[in-house]
Amino acid sequence: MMRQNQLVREIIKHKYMYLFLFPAIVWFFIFYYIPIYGVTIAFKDFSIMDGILGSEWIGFDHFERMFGAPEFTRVLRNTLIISFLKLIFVYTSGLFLALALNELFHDKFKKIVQSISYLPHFLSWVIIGSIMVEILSPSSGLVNYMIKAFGGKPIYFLAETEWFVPVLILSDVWQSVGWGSIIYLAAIAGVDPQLYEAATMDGAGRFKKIWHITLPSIANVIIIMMIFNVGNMMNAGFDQIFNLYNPMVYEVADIIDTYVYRVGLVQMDFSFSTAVGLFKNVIGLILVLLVNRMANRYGQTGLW
Amino acid sequence: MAIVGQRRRFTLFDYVNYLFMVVLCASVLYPIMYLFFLSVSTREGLAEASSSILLWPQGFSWGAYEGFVKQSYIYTGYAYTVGRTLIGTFLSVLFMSLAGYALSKYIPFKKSITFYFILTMFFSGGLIPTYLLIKNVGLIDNPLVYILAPPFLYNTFYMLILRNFFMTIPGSLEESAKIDGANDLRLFFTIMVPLAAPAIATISLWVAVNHWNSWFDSIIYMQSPEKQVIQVHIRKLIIEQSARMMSQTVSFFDKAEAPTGESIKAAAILITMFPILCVYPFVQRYFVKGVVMGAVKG
Repeated sequence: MMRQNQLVREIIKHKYMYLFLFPAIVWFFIFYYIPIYGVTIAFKDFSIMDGILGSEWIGFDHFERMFGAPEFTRVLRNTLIISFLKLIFVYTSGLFLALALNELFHDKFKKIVQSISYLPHFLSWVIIGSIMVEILSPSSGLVNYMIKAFGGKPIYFLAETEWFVPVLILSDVWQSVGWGSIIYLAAIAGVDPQLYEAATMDGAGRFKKIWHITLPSIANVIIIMMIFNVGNMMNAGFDQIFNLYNPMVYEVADIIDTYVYRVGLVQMDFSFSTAVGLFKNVIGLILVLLVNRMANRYGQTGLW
Repeated sequence: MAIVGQRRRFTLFDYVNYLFMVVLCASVLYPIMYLFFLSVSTREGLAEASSSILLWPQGFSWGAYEGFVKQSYIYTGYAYTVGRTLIGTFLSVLFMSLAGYALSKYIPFKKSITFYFILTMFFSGGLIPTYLLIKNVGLIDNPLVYILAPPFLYNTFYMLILRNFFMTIPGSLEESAKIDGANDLRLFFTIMVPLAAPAIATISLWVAVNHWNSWFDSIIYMQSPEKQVIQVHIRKLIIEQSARMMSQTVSFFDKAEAPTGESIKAAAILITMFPILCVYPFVQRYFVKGVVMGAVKG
């Protein structure tokens, strides 16, 4: 009785705080929790007329169809391949840039390079995609002009399956390398300068210093960033791919997210598309949980 | 600036490294300059030019831009983009600051409420259930969707950054304000918001850039072309190569002096990224601060 009164008093005392939180609680309920309930249509024969509640339960039919569909195997494979290549190239490019920037002598030059390299991070993939379409155009684009100038044949980069994925990876490196270096530069700035002085005394060259001092000192940041990237494996980059791909390269470019969009919102197959999305979310959630455990083990800096 | 470490010599590695940095910068700057040169070049100039590697404009005309001034879709697109960026950012930061502040206090059920927000970072309904919800609450083709629909009004990660910042403000300030008779609302707006200005500014910039660059919500929730944001129009013009869009644009030009299609497209891309090009050099340091802050404390 006493305790309950105390709780009520505490709540009344902080009534403004609950008032501040109220819109957030309502908003999250409507825009996040109701759609989570909406996931049940993956197990229903959903029709717009009957609504989510009125549609009939059909169990795992959509999932059986999903695992039997050749496109599903294709999008799953593409998602994993593109994610994996991005993990290798895009992720390491930020680290390399940070190490290279750290070797520059002129601070002002370093600042200018950094500022310029951040620019693409501020542009949407619609804009970057548009720039790429213009520059890679087989008839009037800059890149193909150069290829022709050297006697080569123009390449339709965005429509050829063997070129599409390299273009994807390279453009992602271009967009994110500068921004990706920030975290590592911050970590490098925290390394004790005495370590470098001592190494110089011992006659270490700069590669030796990078290898034996810089990298080990920032190892936990590297591992943690790597781990979080693994947790994000199911997202191969919807914005980028959606703005660059076309039916000619679906074979290598179609990923789970673009497939969910097409089947769901273009072909209006709501239930099946939700089932595919649910599969992706569940695998993604499992990856995040695993990865957080690993992050806690390696550096005690997991998310929770 | 002076060379750091006078005893170090410029080795082959340094030459390669410096050259690499110059190439990196050129790879960012040249495409933008190229678009600019292309956009102001005249039709005759481009025809005469021996290559499409433009190092300066071929001829000079603002024609490709003048055409857009008469375009209705550019006006409505820009108006919606600017409108959602201003209103959306203001409301979003206001509500997130209020929630972030409340989460920085010791109140009953704080842990459960925080968990309620954090859970949404790891599991969500996905595209279709969210779309069906937006449809059911009548937000399809309603401009309010730009402000209300996820992920804009509230973002758990940004809220936590704000909360962490509010936690660093000493509690004694709050007590003295309360003794002077301020209630929580007054305390928040007159004392906490000014003190948290650096964090609030950083988050505002993040939200504003996200709003400016947003396009997918406009594609899926807005059916009327006149309510779509500028990014979607650019997408139609260049990525989807929409013939209707191109003819609509070209028809505004006098046939003889019409800029080429490439100039028009280049101008369109630049018009859309112009505001970001102008503000990013000034705001990037706040962004960097935010990234480091988020990474260290997140």
